[in-house]
Amino acid sequence: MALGVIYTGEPEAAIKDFVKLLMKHKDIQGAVIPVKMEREGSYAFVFTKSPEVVDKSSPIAPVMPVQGARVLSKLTKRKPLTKPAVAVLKPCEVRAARELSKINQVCMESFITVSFDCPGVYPTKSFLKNADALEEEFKKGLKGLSVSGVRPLCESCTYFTGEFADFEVQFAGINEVRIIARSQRAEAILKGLGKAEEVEERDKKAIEAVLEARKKAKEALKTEFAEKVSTPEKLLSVLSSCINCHNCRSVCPICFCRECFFDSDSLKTPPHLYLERASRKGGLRFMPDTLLFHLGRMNHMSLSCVSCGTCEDACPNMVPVSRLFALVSERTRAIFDYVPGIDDRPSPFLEYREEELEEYEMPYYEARS
Amino acid sequence: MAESTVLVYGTNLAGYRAAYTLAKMGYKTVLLNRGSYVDQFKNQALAQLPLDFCWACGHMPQRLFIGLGALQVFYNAEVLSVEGEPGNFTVKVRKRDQYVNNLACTECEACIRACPIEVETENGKRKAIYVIPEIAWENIFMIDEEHCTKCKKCEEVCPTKCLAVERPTEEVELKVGAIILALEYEEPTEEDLEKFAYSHPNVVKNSDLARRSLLTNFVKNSLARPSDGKIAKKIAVIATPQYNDREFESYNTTVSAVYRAYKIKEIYPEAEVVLFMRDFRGYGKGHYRWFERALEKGVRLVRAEDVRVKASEAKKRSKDNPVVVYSEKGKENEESFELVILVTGQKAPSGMEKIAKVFGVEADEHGFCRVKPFTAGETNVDGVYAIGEFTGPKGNPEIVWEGYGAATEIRRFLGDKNFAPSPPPPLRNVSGEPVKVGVFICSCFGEFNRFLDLEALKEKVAKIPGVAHVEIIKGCCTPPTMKDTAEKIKASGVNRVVLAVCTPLQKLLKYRRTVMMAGLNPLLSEFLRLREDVIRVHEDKDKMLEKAYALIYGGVEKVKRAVAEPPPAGKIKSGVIVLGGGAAGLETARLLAERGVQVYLVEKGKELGGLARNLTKDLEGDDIKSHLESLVKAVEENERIKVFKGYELVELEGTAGRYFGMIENKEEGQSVALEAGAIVLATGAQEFKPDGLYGYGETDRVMTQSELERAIAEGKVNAKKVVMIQCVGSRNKARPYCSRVCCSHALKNAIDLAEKGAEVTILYRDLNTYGFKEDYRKIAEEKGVKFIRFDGSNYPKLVSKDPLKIEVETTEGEKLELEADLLALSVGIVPNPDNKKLSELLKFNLDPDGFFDSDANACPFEEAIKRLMKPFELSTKGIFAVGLAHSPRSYTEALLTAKDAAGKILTFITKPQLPPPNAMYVSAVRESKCTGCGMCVTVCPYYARSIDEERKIAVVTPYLCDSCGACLVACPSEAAYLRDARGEMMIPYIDALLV
Repeated sequence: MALGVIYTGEPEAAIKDFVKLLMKHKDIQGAVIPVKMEREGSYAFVFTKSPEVVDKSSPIAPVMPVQGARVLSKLTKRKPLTKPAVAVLKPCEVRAARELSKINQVCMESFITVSFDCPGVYPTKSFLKNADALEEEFKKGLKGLSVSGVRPLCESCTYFTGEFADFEVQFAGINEVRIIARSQRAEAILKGLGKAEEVEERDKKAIEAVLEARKKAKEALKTEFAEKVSTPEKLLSVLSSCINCHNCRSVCPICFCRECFFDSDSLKTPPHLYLERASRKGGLRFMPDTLLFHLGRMNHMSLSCVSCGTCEDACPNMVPVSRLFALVSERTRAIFDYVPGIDDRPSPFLEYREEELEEYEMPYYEARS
Repeated sequence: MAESTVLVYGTNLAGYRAAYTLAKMGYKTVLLNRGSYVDQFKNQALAQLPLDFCWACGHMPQRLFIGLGALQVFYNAEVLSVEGEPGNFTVKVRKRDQYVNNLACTECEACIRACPIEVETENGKRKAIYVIPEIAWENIFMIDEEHCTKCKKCEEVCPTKCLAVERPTEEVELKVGAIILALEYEEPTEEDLEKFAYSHPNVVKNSDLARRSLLTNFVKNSLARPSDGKIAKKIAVIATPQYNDREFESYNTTVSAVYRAYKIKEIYPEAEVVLFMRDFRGYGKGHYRWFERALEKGVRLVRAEDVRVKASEAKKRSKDNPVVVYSEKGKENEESFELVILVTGQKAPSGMEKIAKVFGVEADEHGFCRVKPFTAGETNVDGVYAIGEFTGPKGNPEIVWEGYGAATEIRRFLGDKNFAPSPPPPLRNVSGEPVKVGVFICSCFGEFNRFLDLEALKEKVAKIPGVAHVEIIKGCCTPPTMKDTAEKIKASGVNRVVLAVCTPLQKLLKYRRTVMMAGLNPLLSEFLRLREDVIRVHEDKDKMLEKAYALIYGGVEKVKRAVAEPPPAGKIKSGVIVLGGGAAGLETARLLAERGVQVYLVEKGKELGGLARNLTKDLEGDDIKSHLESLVKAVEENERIKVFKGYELVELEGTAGRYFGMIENKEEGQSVALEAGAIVLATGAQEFKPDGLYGYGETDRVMTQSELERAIAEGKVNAKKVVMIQCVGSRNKARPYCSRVCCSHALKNAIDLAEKGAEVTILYRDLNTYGFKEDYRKIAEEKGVKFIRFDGSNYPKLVSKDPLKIEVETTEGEKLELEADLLALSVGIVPNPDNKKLSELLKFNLDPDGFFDSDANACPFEEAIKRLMKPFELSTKGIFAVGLAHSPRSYTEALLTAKDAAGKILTFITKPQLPPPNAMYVSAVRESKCTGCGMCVTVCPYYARSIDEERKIAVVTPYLCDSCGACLVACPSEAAYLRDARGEMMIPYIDALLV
């Protein structure tokens, strides 16, 4: 049993009602929530203090052009909000935000996060081509979390519930909509509103089938896709259509630098050194820093990558960049037994553990044998 | 007018530390090494500064201080006579210089090649002039006097003329203000270790093992048996001083034994390790945890009453396994081992008699130098100090602390400061000039011509884009060649310099100096290693040329984009806040104030003196009470100490060197703002209250040792039968540490009572009579005190309160019931409950036991050394824990930590401005790129970085930055950078290296 509120009816309507309820709390101002932009036909986050805007919102949007963690970062990077706002986010957005808060890029105290059972989102480009039909299909598949044609990483996402937000919205596999407080802060808010009731936890079996399907997809990614990038040559050919536009980096919620190293003067190579490279390699492929760029990004953020797939969504040339990063991230995270956005401990980058260095203390001849 | 130079005689760690500390404080030192090279007389800490190389950062302090002019070292030195008085000693010294002047030697090894004499040794052939040892960072050239024919061929070929086969023995007269005796650790000889069959090849000293594994760390191969090279699987580790009256035991001995046993199990889990020791005496931070960890790892502990080793054929090259013969619980056993490791103690200094004669100091009953209680090594002769292992067996941290302490105390004999590093030459402003790179290729006095076609290299390098000038130079490491090269740089008109030389590791400062002599900032230069990276690693001449070219090309690309910046100096606040007015706080305040520092002493209570007010004397009989009284008086009368009684620290902002604190007297509603450069944590600790244990608190016949001491002093004790129980509430799950003072306390009371005719029985687990305290155990035994050992898992029980009856099971398995009129509980020391709050306020860590973290926290000493030897004193955030806030310790030992802290603080607090340790080489922040993520702050090992909360960007405190580069690695966008390795320098550098 846990503290929460039960709604009947459609999940989206329940979330909207709940957000409006939260906004009545004296310590909460406004909400950050996805809204459909009628003219463009797509969705964007809106920061609002008006319950009317919440009424028009679409809490569970079928696309994610902008990762929500970036919105929270934009709002609170310089300073916390005077009072917290409600933020309705997909599970991967909550995780990215939590990850960013560890490095002072988001102030989590400024947001009461609400997250939900996520069916995934469509790639933005395919959604825009056929928005009305896909929206229809999305609505149909929502309660069963069975929407086809979503981002490849959504298909293999196993962290698809809202349990890491302050409030988790459950509807998959059950008849009603249960909103459960997942933090002490959330419990206090419910109590303050006089709405706290004891709610039964959802039986894990209710979403077991979805989880199994996703796990299977993940395994496929790990084996089939891994094969496609198993050697430097294969990797280069997967990246061959990369145009070095750096869109993937610009939309990435975790890439938080003000100026990317790969846009800096450090990589402004003088012509005579290009010539040296060309004569050394026989020929120099342009743009020359493509591989370095992707490897560099992996190095910088793969431990914190939440596999939201936004990078691939933004790629103009369909480079499977999100799958590549998800694969690498899976491996680097495993070294430290760390799951970004879920673990409360600091990123392994910031944590020093003595035993980590054992391999360095080993003499060469032992390390090699 | 008093002299300001100090003479340090001997090369123990305390002596080195004192010399370096004095240099930092502004005094010159002459150091006398009795040996012919830096490490001939071994130091106690084997891994510490082996051959003058510091593991922590690659600095070589001895070379550095010699180079700066603060230190002079004489080799083969002996003191002939001492005359005069404190402040004005005249010391006659006999010395003979080293064959090779290390500071001028380029290590080209031409001498070895020229030497016609080949000598067969145990380890193969070598010349009559040779390098020792093979694993050293600093090669030392030795001449084998037995075989050398004095043909002087080596002298002829020496390019820098730093070699002389015959060095005259000279006598010099030194004028010094004070003398520090710091003679070295003496290991037991083969004869002393006869009981342990040390002559057998497979019986080795722990120090042998440590030396052998210096550069590889301790690895499985380190366990190879000397007899046949087989990795030993069954190993005995013996703490020998506990079984050998020819050795003295320092508290390090047992923890070293435990650590060695643990390490063996760690690197070779299948090995069977048996540890022989009677009592575990490791009381340092974390020591008891290591003891428990070793047992957990499967080390078998045998608490033998006696141990010896026999070998059927105790000769070199014997292949038989040595047999350990030991008695346990009264029974004699034998067990054979593949390898026996002796963790040995130390011997009394062999030259003591002569030193006593020359200096007038006294030997104590053990043959060590006698020093006065409560000092950092004051002898009976005014102005002469004795420190380190020369005065008795002790642990490494204490030895280093004594170095700081002696340097501090001895200043009262000295005249004005006589050392300040010379200012750098004026540097030219090159901003706005077009980049002109000059490449200077060193021929090492022609040596490199033998391997490399330098002319061809020069020709190739001249074609690298941007190179304006190439020149071959003779050298860049002796005063004339440095001057010559500087002039060549100047004459060429270049504003960027690439120096292709032999080895920057040891000569870096000379190269930087050369560039500065040419008027250029060293940040505009790059140094490459033609010898270490090219000549000594390749055989093919074409490959050598190719690699030399690539290295130079890289260097050229790097310096092209280099930017000159001056060393950023930081301002230091001149005051010191001392929190706590107990003995350690008082002593720190006194020492600092007497040396001109403004001190704010903040005491929570209404009276000064702290826990020591309960003490009258120590085990050795020294009068604590009157010492404390005079200390309180000295503090209260000193004008430079402002005492705040009833005040507490409530706020603190800032970083090492710049603290802003607020103290408050809650009762009076007063608060005072204070500024300080350093903070001393002297907040003390408490005695464990054994409420409910053994009827304590229910009957007044059960008391703690300090209550007993007071009762004895007041003449209130007339018990005939007294039982004492050790380790009550100590060394258990809740408090897994040894409080070190309780055993001494019990012995002191037991001897007092036994003298009054009482029958005293001490029930103990391990009797921690470290150092010379073992003497008092013997005295107690002579006076009839009984000692009964029990097992830690089976504490004695109180079976009846009236009369008091205690049941104990001995480790031999015998059950005894003891009747007593009085039961004394030896309780440990527990941390001050305020520590946690204070630790959060100061952002300064506590150790796992709840005391304050310190440089000696890491254990065992291989680890501790790395922290003790950090390059500068501010690396603990400018916060220094002393006395019981640091760890449980006796009055004398608490004072020592105070002296140590005062010494460390005095190295920086009086300087208004501090440059970074590496001058202009520091890390910096590109403000436009920084997002304030704080990764660099977290990873900085020197606490040199913080986040400016207003601007949300990182800032660097320059004097704390050692330019290690951790921040640069952590920062994904290169907002953190090193001035000498900016991204725009390094990527082209790598590009060019790959040509």
